[in-house]
Amino acid sequence: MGGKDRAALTEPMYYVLMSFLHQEMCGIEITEFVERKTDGRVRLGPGTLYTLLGKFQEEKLIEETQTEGRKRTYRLTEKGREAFLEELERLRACLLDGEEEL
Amino acid sequence: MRQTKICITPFSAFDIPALTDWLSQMTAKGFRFSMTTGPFTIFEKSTPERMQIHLEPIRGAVKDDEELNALYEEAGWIYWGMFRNNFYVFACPNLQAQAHTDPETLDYALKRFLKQKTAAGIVLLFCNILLLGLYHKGFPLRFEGYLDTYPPVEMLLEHGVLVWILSALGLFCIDIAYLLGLYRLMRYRKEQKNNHIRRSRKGIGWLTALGALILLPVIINTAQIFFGLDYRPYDLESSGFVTLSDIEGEDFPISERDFYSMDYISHGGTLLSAEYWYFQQYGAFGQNKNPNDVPRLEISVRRYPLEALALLRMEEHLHGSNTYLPVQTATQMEPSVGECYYAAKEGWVAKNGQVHLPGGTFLLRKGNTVLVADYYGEQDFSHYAEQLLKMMEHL
Repeated sequence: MGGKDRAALTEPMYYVLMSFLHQEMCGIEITEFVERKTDGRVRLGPGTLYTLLGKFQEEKLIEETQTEGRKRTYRLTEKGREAFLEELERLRACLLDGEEEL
Repeated sequence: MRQTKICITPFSAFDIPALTDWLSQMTAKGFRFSMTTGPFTIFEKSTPERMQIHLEPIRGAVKDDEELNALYEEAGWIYWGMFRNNFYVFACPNLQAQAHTDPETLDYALKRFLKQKTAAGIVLLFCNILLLGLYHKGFPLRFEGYLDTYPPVEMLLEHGVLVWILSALGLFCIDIAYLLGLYRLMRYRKEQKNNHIRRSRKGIGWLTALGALILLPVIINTAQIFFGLDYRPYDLESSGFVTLSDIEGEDFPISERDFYSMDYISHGGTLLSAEYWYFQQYGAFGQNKNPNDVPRLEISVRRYPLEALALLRMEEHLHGSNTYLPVQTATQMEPSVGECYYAAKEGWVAKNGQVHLPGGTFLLRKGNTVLVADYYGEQDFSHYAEQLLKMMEHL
């Protein structure tokens, strides 16, 4: 794990990062993606999404690519991809641990 | 029927749960949040309805955030405006709607907001230092033991004690309200984590309003100083002031030094200091001679914001070192309108041979204006009451 240890991501954080894996996204598209991906299990309140976009930008996990009217589009940075993959590894390890114990 | 309602915000501007409840209750009563100005919140008359209110802490620059509004609107919320420079206000008719669905993210938002407001608190601290520094000459303890020299009214208005006291008091209220607000925000963050929000009591907002009200005259006073409105001198000619030449005669030689022979009336004052007029003239005195050896006239006038202060100032003068006697003026004044006193001074020679000229001091009050005119010289100054009264009328 490079750099300082990152705290585990919450589900909304994880899915927001995931939404950027294949394409650039704007806020509303992220909400739709998360809802579709989780069959409505994970809901993103507008306050949560707004805060997360700000937080990820500050941590340089995503970056803004363009602003069009009220729509701002972001993409995942290399650091963001690493953060997502680290979380994925952690979740895989958790899953394996659980299955072993069954 | 009035279309707007202005209320003093009763809660701290950082108290999210209390403000949310309050705005929601006002909406239910038919008053929709419109905007804030200083310690006031302005509501617009609307149809009473039950709405869920959410306050989203402002991140970074204080301006409408189009992206944020779009996100909220998409989720069924309506943007109502900004609450001070702290929050965006959103309302939603769906009482079950959730603006924040991840407690950890909400905690991050609150932590960030707390940091922002703590930094703003440092700016507030700097403002405290700046304002109290500007008026440091009025620090009351500087006058400890000098009350005989500086009586209360003079001390309060002419030496800047009043403006210092108001600054300190106003800032104290605002600082305390700010600190309590920060504490409330910290507590809310903790309660949010424990999922147990306690209700707040009203009061912190009123403390802010009280502080702002006390500081308002100080701010006006400071603006007057910064814009140079505190000093407005004008020419002696056509001022109507009694001069040394009037008393000693046209041929009397007046000092040519600027300091000892003013050809202007020093005039000024601010909201929290008495408006003043000052003028002095000395007779010509030679090189290495004492200016006190020649006839001289000094006139000082103060106009107090309240007549009661002028009356108090008169009392202070009358109990001073001069022995004043009432003077009957031709323009008879009711005691409620004005008073006129004169104290004659005899000349004397000091042990070292220095001659102290005789003279007299007039003490006049007309309404809220007090005049003290000191004359040293051989002429009879006692019959100048009418002229001095007339002079006061032109001020």
